[in-house]
Amino acid sequence: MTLELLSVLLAIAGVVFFFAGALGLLRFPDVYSRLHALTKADNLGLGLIVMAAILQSSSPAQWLKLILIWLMVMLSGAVTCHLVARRARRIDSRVDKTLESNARQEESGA
Amino acid sequence: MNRHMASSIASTTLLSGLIWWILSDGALESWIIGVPAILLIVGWSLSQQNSFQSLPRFFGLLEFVPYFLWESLRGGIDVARLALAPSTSINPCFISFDLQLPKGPAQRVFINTVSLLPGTLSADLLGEQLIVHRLRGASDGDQDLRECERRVARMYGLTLTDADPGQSSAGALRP
Repeated sequence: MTLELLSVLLAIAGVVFFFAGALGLLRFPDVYSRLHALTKADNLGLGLIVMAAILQSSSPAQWLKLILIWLMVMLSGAVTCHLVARRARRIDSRVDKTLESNARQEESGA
Repeated sequence: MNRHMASSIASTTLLSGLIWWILSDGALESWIIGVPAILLIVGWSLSQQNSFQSLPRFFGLLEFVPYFLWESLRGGIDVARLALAPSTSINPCFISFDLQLPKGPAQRVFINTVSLLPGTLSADLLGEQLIVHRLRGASDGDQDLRECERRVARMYGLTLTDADPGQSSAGALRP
């Protein structure tokens, strides 16, 4: 009974973190800050929900499988986040350069 | 075959066997596919140049996991609070961090861990410099990143090559 209750509480906490992550995605000003919200809050939310599911299940093989799912999602989340941020930075710097050279051309033309 | 190689083969085999066992729910007939897959993984990891240090030390891992869990808990709570606060008080900026870890698995683990620390996100890698995005402005000396790097180095049994001027302990022990 107490385990059930604890499991429900953990799952609710997990949902709160997923909600906060989604809210951060909408509210934060740029792509990098939004990635912060997605990776960290969702990783913690999934961890809490995995713990809640572990309390509901009785077989150790299922526990290991749930933990494995969490590790895999965490790894792919961190790698994807780095790749998105890197791509965004490189596109940004290219856009900056194009703007600069456009500005220079306009100056020299004027 | 030297000792490093043997222990590397043993730990890779054990780890992939464990993952296969978890994924297949221990079904005996599934090993028809599992065993060739594990052999492929071991063969591939041997063909990699630095396969000897590709796995962390066991006790190092035990030491690192609680730190990692605690920091990712802090990171999640921190960013959730910022997202739920009525007015977002974030001050985003980029900093560049000089990596002391050598190229390889330890460096990759560090780069991915940085994204789960409170307020930091690894955005790009330019040679030996990691570009880190911070949510709360620059912090003096990047102590949180240095601390994380030291812990990753310890997990892999590495000595950091270059001592941080503010820290006397990290690299000074090298003979």
